Amino acid sequence: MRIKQCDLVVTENCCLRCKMCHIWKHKRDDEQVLLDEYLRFFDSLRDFSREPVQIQFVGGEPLLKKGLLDLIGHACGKGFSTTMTTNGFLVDRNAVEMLKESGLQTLGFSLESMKKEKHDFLRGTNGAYERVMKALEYFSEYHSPDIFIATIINGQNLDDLAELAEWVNVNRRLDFIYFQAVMQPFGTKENEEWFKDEEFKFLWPDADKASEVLDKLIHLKSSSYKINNQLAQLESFKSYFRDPGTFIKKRTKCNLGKDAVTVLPDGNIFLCLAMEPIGNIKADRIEDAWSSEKAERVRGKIANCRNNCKLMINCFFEEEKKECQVLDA
Amino acid sequence: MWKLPETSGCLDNHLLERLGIQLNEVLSGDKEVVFSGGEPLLYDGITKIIKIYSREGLRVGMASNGVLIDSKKAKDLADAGLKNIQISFDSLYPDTHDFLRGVAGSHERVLKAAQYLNVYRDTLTVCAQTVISGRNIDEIIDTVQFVKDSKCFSHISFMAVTAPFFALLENNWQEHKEFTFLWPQDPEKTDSVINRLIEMKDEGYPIANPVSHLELFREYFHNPGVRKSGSSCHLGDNVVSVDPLGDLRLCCSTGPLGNINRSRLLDILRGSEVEDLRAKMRSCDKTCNALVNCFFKEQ
Repeated sequence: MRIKQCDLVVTENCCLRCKMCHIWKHKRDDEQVLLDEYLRFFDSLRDFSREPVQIQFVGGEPLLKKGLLDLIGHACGKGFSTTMTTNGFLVDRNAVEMLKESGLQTLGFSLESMKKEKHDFLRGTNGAYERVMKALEYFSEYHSPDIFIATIINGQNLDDLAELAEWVNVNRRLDFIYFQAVMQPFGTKENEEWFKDEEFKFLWPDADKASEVLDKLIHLKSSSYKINNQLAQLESFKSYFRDPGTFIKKRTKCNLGKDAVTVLPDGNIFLCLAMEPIGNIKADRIEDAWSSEKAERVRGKIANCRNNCKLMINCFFEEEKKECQVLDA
Repeated sequence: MWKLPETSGCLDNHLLERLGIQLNEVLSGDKEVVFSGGEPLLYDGITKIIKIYSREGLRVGMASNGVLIDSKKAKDLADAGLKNIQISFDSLYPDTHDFLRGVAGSHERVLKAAQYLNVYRDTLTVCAQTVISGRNIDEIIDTVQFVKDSKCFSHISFMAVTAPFFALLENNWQEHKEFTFLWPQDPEKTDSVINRLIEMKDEGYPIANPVSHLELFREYFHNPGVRKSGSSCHLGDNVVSVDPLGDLRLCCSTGPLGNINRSRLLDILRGSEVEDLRAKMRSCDKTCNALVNCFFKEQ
């Protein structure tokens, strides 16, 4: 059992004011990991993992992390596959060139709608749409990195999703679109019924309409459109929007803790962000943290966890295995 | 920094107005408050806040690009009780200054601003703030001479160019082709310019930096990655910084100790972790540009 994926939250700072994520309101970076400490972490991850490892640079807005390109460059040099997701606001021509040179393999841009006003509204920032489109235009001049679009399905953009999928499908520079379902905004007080709250209910889609739109996306996906979600995931979005309270992994256990870690800006290493860290990259070698007592304890808790956890529907979706009937010969 | 959206965060006007009393509680000695940005004159109501703080007995300073200062603004700032203003002035030559600032005509406006402000020189110190870079290294000596002769500014104060905000690179940023023009390429020439600055300082030219600071620049331009050996960080004991979201920090690479929107300054600074952090900062040996420029302190 070795690490295949590492989500590196390099900063929790963000320059946009998104309606679907409120981290920008109060979440600020704690003591940051120094460049050299990250580089040592990559070295130890390389030594530890025999399989190819994917490092995802995420945020906040990762481009606000000073020295980000040193990190990406080093990770690529070590043979990791590298991905980053950005809101695109800071991606000017200079950044495009530097990102290309860094060796980054895959770059995702958040885009909520092809309608400027709607994207800007959801992202809480005037000019956000224009900037992300400009960034995509700059990238159209280069062949690398691979580029995808990340879209959060919510109550404000249901009508725009098929259009987005169509647009991605005909845009040769774009590799795919990946949909996520809106969750309770990060950085808000936990509340099972958040989507009924006056502050957030505009984010929650009408279930019937969502089903209709998702059926359309399923149809497009079946017609070989460049949609990266599994069909089963799009199906499960339908039931999630119908009843978010009862959505839970039923048969399969949570897949966290097996082959992925998340590292926060303070260096703490997590198997599951809802549980305690298993170590810190500033102090611990990854192989020690990975097989530590703490890690085993967290794995035990994950195995027994029956929380109605929305991560399972988005980033960590995994199709529930059909129970196979073994036929006697 | 200008690439960021305008919504990136803004301190509440009323909160800032009322903060003077709290600042008075936590500051000692000169009780110096410096408004910086971005461009602090873009903040609505800054003059009123300066007035309130001055009345509180705080010594108020500001770092500005000068472009928004006309004769009325200069009078307002002086009347409000501003004691010290650092105006960015990257060269006596307009082309160089305007290129580095990215705005045509800014050189002309800066010089006008300095003249307007200089009317109030009895109470307001107007200092030219020059960032030494590859683009102006040949003009530094002339710029000092100009500051002395023109009498627009009382002093000239130097900083050394560091990686621009959001440069995306930390190690060897100055070697990337986007930025090479910012870095003085000829070490011998840089040495001779800085040596001459030290002489000029001795000769009585109005250079604000202590000689040891200029010597640090000389070392920094040879080896930007190396922290001056034997120096310890004094920031924890002398400076607090508050960002536009209200987060208060002692060190720019550690997390906030609290937020002024939610807690009183005094309570934040009496927090249990503050003394630990200060002790850690005193013995910190990491390379940090904060000590090269704004927060240089003579040993």
